[in-house]
Amino acid sequence: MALYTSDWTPINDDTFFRRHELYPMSWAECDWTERTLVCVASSGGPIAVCRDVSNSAVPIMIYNGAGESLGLAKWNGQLAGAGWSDDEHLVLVDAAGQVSVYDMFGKMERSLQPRDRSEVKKFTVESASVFLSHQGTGLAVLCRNQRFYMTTSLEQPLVKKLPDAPGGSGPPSCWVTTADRYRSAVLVAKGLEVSLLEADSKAQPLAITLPAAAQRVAQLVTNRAGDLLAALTDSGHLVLTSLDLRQTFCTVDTGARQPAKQLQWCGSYAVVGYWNSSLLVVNRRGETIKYGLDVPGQLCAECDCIRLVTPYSHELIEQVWSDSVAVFRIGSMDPAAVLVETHREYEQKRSHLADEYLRMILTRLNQAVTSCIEAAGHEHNPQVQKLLLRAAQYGKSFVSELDPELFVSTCRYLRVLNSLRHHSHGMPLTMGQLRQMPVPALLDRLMRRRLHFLALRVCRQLQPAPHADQRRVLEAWAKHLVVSSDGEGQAVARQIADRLGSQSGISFADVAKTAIAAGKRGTAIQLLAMEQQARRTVPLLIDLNMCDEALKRAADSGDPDLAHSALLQLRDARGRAEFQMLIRNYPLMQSLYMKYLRSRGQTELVRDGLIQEDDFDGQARLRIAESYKETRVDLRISHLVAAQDCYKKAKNEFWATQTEDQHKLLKYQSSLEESCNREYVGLSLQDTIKQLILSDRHKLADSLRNEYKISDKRFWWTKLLALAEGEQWAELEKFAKSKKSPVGYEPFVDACLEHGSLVEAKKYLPRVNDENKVKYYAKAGLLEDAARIAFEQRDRDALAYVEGLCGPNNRSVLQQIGQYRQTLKP
Amino acid sequence: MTSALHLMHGRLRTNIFRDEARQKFVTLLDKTVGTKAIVWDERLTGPFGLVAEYSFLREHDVAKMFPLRAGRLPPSDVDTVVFLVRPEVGLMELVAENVQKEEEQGGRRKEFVLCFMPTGSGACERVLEERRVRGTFSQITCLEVRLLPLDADLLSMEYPLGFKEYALENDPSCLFEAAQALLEIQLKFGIIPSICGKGNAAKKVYDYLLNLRREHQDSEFPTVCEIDTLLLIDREVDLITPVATQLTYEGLIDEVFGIHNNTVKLPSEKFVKQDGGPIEMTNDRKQFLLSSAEELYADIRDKNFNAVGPALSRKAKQISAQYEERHSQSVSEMKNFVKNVLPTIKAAKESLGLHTSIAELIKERTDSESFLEALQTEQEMMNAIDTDRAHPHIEQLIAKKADLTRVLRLICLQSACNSGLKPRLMDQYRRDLLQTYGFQHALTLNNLERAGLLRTQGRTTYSALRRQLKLTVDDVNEQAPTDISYTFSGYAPLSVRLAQLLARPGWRSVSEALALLPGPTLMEEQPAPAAARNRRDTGPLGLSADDARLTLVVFLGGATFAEVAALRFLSSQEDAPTEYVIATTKMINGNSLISSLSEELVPVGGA
Repeated sequence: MALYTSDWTPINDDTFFRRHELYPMSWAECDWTERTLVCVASSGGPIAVCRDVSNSAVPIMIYNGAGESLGLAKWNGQLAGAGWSDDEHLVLVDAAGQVSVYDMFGKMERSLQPRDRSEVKKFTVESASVFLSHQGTGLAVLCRNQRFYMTTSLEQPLVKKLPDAPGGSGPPSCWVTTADRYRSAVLVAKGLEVSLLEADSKAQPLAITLPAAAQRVAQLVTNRAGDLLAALTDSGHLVLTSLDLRQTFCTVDTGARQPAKQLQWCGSYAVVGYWNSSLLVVNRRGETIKYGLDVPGQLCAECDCIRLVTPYSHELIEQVWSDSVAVFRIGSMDPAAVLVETHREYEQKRSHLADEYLRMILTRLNQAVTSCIEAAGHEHNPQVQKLLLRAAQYGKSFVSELDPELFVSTCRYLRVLNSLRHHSHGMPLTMGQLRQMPVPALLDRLMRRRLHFLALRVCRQLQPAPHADQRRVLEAWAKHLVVSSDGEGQAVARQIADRLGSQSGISFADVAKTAIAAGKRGTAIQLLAMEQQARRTVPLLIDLNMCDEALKRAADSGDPDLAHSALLQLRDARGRAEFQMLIRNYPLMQSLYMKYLRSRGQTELVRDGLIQEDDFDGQARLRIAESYKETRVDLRISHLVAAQDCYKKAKNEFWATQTEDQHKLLKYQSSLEESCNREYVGLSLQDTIKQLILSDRHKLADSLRNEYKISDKRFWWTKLLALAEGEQWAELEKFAKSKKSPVGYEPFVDACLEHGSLVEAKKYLPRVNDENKVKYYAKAGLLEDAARIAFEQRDRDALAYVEGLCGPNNRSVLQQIGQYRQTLKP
Repeated sequence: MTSALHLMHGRLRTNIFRDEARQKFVTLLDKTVGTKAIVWDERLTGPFGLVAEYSFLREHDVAKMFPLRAGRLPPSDVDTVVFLVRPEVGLMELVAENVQKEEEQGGRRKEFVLCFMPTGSGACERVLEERRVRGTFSQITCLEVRLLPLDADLLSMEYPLGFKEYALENDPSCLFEAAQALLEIQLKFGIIPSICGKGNAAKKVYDYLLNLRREHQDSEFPTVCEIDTLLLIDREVDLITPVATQLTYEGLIDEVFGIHNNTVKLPSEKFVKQDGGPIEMTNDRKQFLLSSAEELYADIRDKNFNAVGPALSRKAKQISAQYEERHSQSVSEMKNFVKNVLPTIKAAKESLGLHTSIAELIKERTDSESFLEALQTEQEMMNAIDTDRAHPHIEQLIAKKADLTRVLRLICLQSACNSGLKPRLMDQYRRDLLQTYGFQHALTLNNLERAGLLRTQGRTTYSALRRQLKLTVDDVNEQAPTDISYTFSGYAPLSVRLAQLLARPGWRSVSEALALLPGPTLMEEQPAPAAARNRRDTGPLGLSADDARLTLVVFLGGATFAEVAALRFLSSQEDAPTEYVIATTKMINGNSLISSLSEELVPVGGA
């Protein structure tokens, strides 16, 4: 404990800087020369080292932060610039302006060529800078013609020429890229003139106040947030200022007469310069610390600290956080420090002093707890983290109202940080960096490293509720497994299923898609069998040529949209003939297809389908429907004849006869039309007969009746109604007397009444069946007779019925009924 | 006007379906720019009337509404044209034609939006692609509205041709949508632990539902089970009820005038004095909204028509008694009376006047000879009297060439009540129909046969069913009913009897009868999330009064108002083992069922 502050160096009375080792580097890269390229990705990303860039035989080795090898990349060319993209891809730019992008395992992912005849191509690249822009990864190049070109996104490269820097046409003395949240730009110095170059606008000169001794600006650098600027002059003066120049923080004479090897911001609070064997830290107040450095090193600026990679170690330099100072500063009487001491007394010595100490800080315990938690968060050593958290936990129990959120989340984040920092993962993130990074972005980084399990656990730590991100991680794992596994058997699919189960919510179809893309058919099929969503499965099954399976899944789902899409996709893929044969085993799909064709009006295709399936009834129905679409009678008849034929084949006698009758009737009607100049075609048989009767062609009517074997009853009905409608009363009477009516005489009465002839109706009333007589007399309005008949039939109910029909005008009838009733009384 | 307050008082908050539909519709409209014209698939206008009235649409910049027709759109000066259609391939030609003509026309640039209800269809989009208009649409979206509440206990999918689709064309679209709708219901009200059903369609819906549920995780469902039992009834199981004449008040209004989306159009001369109620005048018909928001209607809608007269006169007496009370009141009471009681009395009086008029209109019909004869015929058939032979009344109707639908209904009823017609009789009917009405009805008859409404005698089942399920009841009390048979004055609707028996004593007791009905019988348990499973067991003494079980009865292929009435009757019984909510693909009656299966061939203009 006493040694805790041993790596602290005071920069003033209250502020300390700390330089501590993150990892001893176990790699084989001990021999760094002028030609060695060391490229460190920010936010604890990978490190690329190339021992000799000028020799194409030397590969670029890629390591994680702890120096463990990730892969190697082969590259040859004249390097103009290198850097890591925001999605941790190594970007190399050669003098011809060609950009090569490698993943962190050294696999070449893509390369971008400058367009032919573009100026970048013509003038070759002098130097290049890969940087994190406001839109992702940017690239700025300086060409031999002293012009700058820049793109702000390598995803969608749009190269823009930057305006010319003022200060003559000579080469710039130095330049650097900068980016904030809204823009990316190049800062360039020519002599003492510094200007900011942005695409699509003029060069903006920056009037930095420089010491008089300076001849030119030797180095420029902005911080990660892009709002602070540091400039080093050839006279060794370092000027710290805000980029908008509203504030100049300090000007420090570094004493060095040559330019620094490297100059970087440390967070936003200091600048670190690297000369031959020393590091100079300068804070914004102009105070300095000098660290020795006996081996070559590479600085990497972070948003809250700076990292230093040397052949032997990976170190971190940061200003000690105020909470840590409060706890650990020698002789500190800050409540936080007292709390730690209290806890120690209590835990280790079981001493009564604990109580005394606690009383001292009781009023400020809240602040003490918070400080301890924060300090723990900034600590890299798990032992110290535990010590501080235990102290905080101890103190917490004496504070009644304390939001537990900070404690809980710090614990969660520390767990994540400690695993990320483990040397096998080698991601030395700080608490500040982790909290700033969105969880999905962190997961992406882990998945890129194929650390799916770690990603899943991180996900569960940081997002306790089930979340779409978890599914994403699982899916990425499955996809990785599918692609990376050898062969394409069932084993992979089973492994995935066993691990995830069907309820994990991941889309097996998406994984299967990856398998298809990787040419692993067998795995894809197995995976699709596990996918629950038919909508996603069916199109892929068709792609895989598993037509039967696809049809089955589509049919079982019942989803009409899916079924239709599958049908059409299959028809396109397989051609009509084969398609027809395929779907015949799936009646549901078959009928949906038929319905589709029908609604598209593709009759001939419908018929093909029906013929293939020997559906004669269906063919007949189609023919019948078609016959009504023809205007010419002979065509109608020919369709009906065809329909009859189909019905015969279907052994459907009834309909065969009916169709036959119909086309015969049509023929007959059409001949009738010719002979008597009246429309007959289209009438029903009954209407035809009626029409014939109305036009006095009784013979023809009779012959039709015989021809179509119309029953007596129906013929009588037809004829009597026709005659009544035509008001051919004489004919009607003759007909009624021709023989005994098979339908009774009630219809005659009804028909007469309906056509308004009471006189005629009366003729048939006596012949009405006895049981209906009362009703029919009453219907004809002959209430008196009705009452009489009811009396004769000795039917009291009937009498009452007639009575009910009597109105005020029928007083005499009512009297009569009264009398009848009297008489009927036994 | 279309106040939805009454929807909130049921056992299930069916109003959320209305609110959601409204919300989705608004979102759709607000996503498009400027003034809009909506081109409706005509089958959707009615249902949408339940959700969004015209004034509401106007608030959202809908300036014009047109039905979807062939040819050109009527001229309009709007920024956006929204086509709202069912995803049917046949309609796409119309849409394409509309758009093409409008583009040729030139003039002001319009945006076109195509919206499918309830889901999009790749096949439809393909047609548009083939017609080269796919790119003209700035948006192709869908409006996922599957269920609309017709009442607090009644949901409808408004899918008119459902029965035809699955019974005739082997097209499962309607059943799939039903399964989707049931999934929606479960996502809102929790997993339904027990699923029963009868019929092929029921089985299919059950299968689809299982598939769909597998695609959703348990966690997405609420942790309560508001509905205990789901009963799926395939219309095919009971083809008697829809073709018989409904004798409840609401059923008769539907039979005589037709109720569409809760509104009925009545001859306006009967209603000249009324000033409240009518929605709009259309020529000689006046439109009325019928819903249980109207207290009197809620009271009488499900009564047998013969009990409506007395109920109306009771109500009249009650109103006048209330009105008379004012004489014995102090001044302050009087004030209160004028302010609070009088308006309700006035509304009640108006309502009474309306229904008295409607009842009179219906009575005219029910007293007519043709109605009584038809009714008698129906009763004879249901009681299986002489159903083997041609019925003289049917013969007479055919001879007189009476309305074909009416005749077909009777024949279908005879077919159902005789377990199919004797082959000779079948041939006679069919031949007589063709010879009288013409061969253009051939496909209609064919369709009825294929859909099973008209069939030749197979296994005789009806008499056994009638006995075992007590389908006919001799002494019916129409005024104070004791059995669901009051809805048809003697016939108990088979479908509802099944629901009744399922609740008590259970289907096992009638397994013989169930075996006689077509299609498989379903009695399945659905594992519910553990948290939801034990809702019923929380009370220390079992079920409390307002915690009665709830059964969702789903009619696949359509339900009639009489069936709804019968289920409500069961719900209202004091010792009812369960309450019911009802969902259907569409409200139907015999006429709409027959006409949905009809396919009259119209000859092309003369030679």
